[in-house]
Amino acid sequence: MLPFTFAGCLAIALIAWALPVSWPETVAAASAAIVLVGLLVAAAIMRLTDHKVARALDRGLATKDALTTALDVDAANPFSPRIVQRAEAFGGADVSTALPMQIDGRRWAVSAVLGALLVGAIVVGNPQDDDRREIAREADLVENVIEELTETVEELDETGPDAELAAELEELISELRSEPSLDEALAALDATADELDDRLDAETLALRAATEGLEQTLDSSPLAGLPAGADMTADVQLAALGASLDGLNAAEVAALAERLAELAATQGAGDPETADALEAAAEALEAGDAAAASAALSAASASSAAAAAANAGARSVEAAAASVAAQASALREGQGQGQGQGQGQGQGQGQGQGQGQGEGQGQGEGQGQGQGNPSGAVTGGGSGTSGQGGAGNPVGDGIDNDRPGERGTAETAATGGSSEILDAAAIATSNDFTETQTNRANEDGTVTVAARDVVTDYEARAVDALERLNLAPSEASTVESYFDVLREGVDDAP
Amino acid sequence: MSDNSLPSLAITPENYADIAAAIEREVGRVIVGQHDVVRTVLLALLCEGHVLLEGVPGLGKTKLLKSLADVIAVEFGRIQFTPDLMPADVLGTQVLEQDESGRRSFQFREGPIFAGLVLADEINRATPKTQSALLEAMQERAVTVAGATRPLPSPFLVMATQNPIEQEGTYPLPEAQLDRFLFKARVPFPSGDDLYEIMQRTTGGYEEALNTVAGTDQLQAMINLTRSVPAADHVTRHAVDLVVATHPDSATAPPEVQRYVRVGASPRGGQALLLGAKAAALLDGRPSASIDDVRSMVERALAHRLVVGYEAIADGVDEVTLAHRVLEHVPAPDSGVRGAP
Repeated sequence: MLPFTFAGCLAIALIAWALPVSWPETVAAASAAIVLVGLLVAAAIMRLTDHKVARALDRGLATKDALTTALDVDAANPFSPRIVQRAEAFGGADVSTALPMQIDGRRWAVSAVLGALLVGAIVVGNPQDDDRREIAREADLVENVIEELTETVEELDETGPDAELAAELEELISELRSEPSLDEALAALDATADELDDRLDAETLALRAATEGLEQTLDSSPLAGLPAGADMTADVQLAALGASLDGLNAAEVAALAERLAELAATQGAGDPETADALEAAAEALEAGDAAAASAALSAASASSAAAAAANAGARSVEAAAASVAAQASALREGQGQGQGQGQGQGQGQGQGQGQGQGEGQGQGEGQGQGQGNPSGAVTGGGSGTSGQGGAGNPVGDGIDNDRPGERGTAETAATGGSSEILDAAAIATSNDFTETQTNRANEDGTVTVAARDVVTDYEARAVDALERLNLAPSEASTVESYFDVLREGVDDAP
Repeated sequence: MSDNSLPSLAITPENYADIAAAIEREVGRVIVGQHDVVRTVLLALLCEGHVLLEGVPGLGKTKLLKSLADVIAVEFGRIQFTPDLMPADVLGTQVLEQDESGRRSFQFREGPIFAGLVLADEINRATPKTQSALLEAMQERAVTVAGATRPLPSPFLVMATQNPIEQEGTYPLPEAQLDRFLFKARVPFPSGDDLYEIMQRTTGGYEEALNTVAGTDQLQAMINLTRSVPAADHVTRHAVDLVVATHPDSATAPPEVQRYVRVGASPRGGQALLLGAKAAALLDGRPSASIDDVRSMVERALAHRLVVGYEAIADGVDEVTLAHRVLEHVPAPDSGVRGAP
């Protein structure tokens, strides 16, 4: 059995010499070990029966079956004593004469040779080792990607609006688990990232700007009749307002109509349905039709809620797209560097103008948030009191471990002055600034938003960005000072 | 013949062989050579069986049995079978007799079968009816005539002979009747030296007087002791294997058996193997039968029980050859221990 075992295991081990697979040596070694251990265990526990031993001795000593008969004879048989006596007479026989060890030298020699070859095939490096290491490394890279994507999926609400997105990512994970090549894995990641990016069209971004803008506006300046900071979402505020119109006086109604019209104007580009509902509510209030206004506000609430949900879904898609793209970058880095560590590359996505930041270590993910020129119209994805612009394309240099990623540069930076220290008085009295203290629609279809309505929001976003960016303290202080002066100018403006 | 009043002697396995050897020695003083035939007849006697001898006339078959009868003090009977022999001539018959007072009655006159050792010479010359009468008596060890059953003596052995060269006007024993003979042996023509000795002994004026070395009681005790000899389980199973291998439809049968044999040995063949092995062991001074003892009985116990087909006759393959082929094809079982002999 030993020669056949070694021969079979050697054949298995030699598969690793022909193909870049990692299992043959393990299987061959384990099989040989199991057989050897099994033989030893069998030899230890499988005892020879007395009859077999007696039979062997009978043949070896030519006893004419004396020993076997002695085992079988009935004690009551009249011959029993003589049989036992005769068997005992062979007790002094030389066992080696009775059972000469028959060593098959040829078989042992073959086993030894095959065993040595098997050990050599397992231990000695073979030409496939480099390929196998590369395959293992690539498999580890893909496995890391799978883990990251799995975490991304776990963060999604698989039972809610993100179910489809979660399913798509699960499908991508399944495809990666099917052990594709590195190129195939990259292709799958790129395809998914592109497909997700395609969903983040201009309409999506416009909807985001409108929805989030409305939320921020109503959060900082709730609708009349509702306490500030009540932490009510836009749709809730609109619905609550629709239920409380009867308690408003004429002046409040007029102010509310004006406010609603202004809000409608901000939603026109991104969320026309909500804009129409708000406009209808404003007109109903101006006409004194509280019931119509209430219905319109309910409609606006519903559409606002839907828009918020859609925006949340878009955010999830954006995050998923960023995650997939980041994993593709990591995989690409790992593919290019072989055994080296891939460093992060910053990526940015966005539209419009602004400043982008990228991180240069590990996996870079940059998202830019731009601020529109407070003195002019905000273009890009949003319009209104608080628009959001996308970031430029930051460039992260991930090769040098010691050098952090460079900050991305956007096409146009927000300008508010040409010197580091701004002049609040100049701001407050500048024509450009004073002209923006009132909200108005422009002939070209854009909307001019009052500076006082946006500066708080802009400052909050800037502070948030500062917290996330790795800026020098002096640079952060410059931004903070900018907004301090700006606010001062707003307050001083007529 | 010497006085057969021997002192009482308990038969033990130790003196069993001695007595048997003495019998063979004593018979050998008259019968030259033919040791195997003498041993076969003695074995058949000790196994309470009957033996069939086949040989040309003049080889001493009658002398053999008569000498044996003298040595063991057993009555000898001889039946010369002829085509006109009637069963009553073998078994005996009722005879009308008149006593002194003039009363007439039927008295049974025992036939020649009422002897310890009976020579049925040229049994193949008698009619099947007469053959059957003899064979039935052999089987039953008794004769039933006119409703009365009369036991035959004990020990009782029939040694039948067949003349292989005279086939005209003969009635070959059917296979079922052959099966009743425990052993069959061929009486070979003596060698030159044996023939010289025979001629020296039989053409002079001196005739060797045989001594009785065992009485009927001792012989009966030896017969009883023979059946008491134990055989190990694997010995008995080997006898079974040999019998099974004589059947052409058996997977263990050699190709020659599959080709030439129509019917294999019956269970009587297995009994003959085992009984013969036990007797052979005792004759060898051993208290138990062995594989070798069983294998030594194959030719005398199984050959005559094989029913061969016409192809065997055409190819000149006889039963003895087939029996030896079975021996070669069914080796003695090994111990089952790897590496052991």
